[in-house]
Amino acid sequence: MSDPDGKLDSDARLVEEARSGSREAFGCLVQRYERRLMKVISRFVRDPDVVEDIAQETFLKAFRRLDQFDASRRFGPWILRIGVNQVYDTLRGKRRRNWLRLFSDSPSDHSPDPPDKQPHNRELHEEVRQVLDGLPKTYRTILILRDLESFSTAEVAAILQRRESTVRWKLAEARKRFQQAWEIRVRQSAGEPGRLSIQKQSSAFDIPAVPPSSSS
Amino acid sequence: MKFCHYFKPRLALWAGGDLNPSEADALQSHLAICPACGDRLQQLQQARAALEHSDPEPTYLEQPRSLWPDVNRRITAALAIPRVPVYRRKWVWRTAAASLLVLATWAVWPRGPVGPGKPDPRSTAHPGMLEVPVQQESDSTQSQSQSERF
Repeated sequence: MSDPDGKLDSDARLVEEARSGSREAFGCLVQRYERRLMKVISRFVRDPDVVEDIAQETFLKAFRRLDQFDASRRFGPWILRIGVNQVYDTLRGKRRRNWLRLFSDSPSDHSPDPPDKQPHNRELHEEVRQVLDGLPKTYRTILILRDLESFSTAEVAAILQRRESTVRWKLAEARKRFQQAWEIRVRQSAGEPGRLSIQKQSSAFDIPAVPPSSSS
Repeated sequence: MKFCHYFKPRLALWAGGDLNPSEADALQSHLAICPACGDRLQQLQQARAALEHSDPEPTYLEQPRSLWPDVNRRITAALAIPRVPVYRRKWVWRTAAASLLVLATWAVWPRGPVGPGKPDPRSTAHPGMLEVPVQQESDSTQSQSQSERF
């Protein structure tokens, strides 16, 4: 979310125009942020239809709340914050429905996962996803935004409306928790002959202790 | 090892390049002499690498169709529905009526006689004896004032 060509200025201008009733201006904002938003949402939700639905709902909410948007801030973190909250609202509703379904006779409407075109990476992807799903919500969100979506800690802080120092310490804790859970997973897979490939894939990422470039 | 407790939480930040340069220098010096922290760092980096490499972008995002036509349609539909003011919503009146009913029931609900309650621990009464409350404080103050008088 850097500002190489005055994007922030034009965002603010578009928001102002959208506030004064220009639907086209809001359309420009949607087209500008839809792909980024859908990519973030797809980290939390697998079903592409649900991803699209959540993204639409996010833009709809943003449109309704345009008058609450602080024009001195950036539009990107604001829309992503609405998106992440919408994801958790949807997941919460889905969990509730699943719980209620236990007491009903209706057939499950759970749709199968979309086919993956990269089967060699699927096992690792699934394993990582399951480990991520096991983390508490705050840590999972921070880890996804920072390590998978490559937002800076300042941007994550803006999205989650937290202080950057708080985000950094939560990030450290999130990485530590992920590492512990990942190791347990790898150890378990080593005990099962059919799942040895995970360990092999994981050991392929053995990295010598080279200092990474500091970026803060 | 000395200072491990200080550097341990910073290892995870360093693994992702999120540590301040000054702290990163100090950590690097520490890593040169502490194999335990070196092992910890390697474990963190392995887990992080697995996380990054498991990152296939969903194929449906490669060439997504724009959401704008659908969003625009939904906005139009939402604007077409007139917003009902709060006082004209049925659930507001129903909730208010239910609350009033609960309050009224509570107010007129008959309350039973007051029970015996807890016995007074200072009481020396026994069954069949006249209850004589203990007045230690007043007695002592009386005797004190008497002694002062004499």
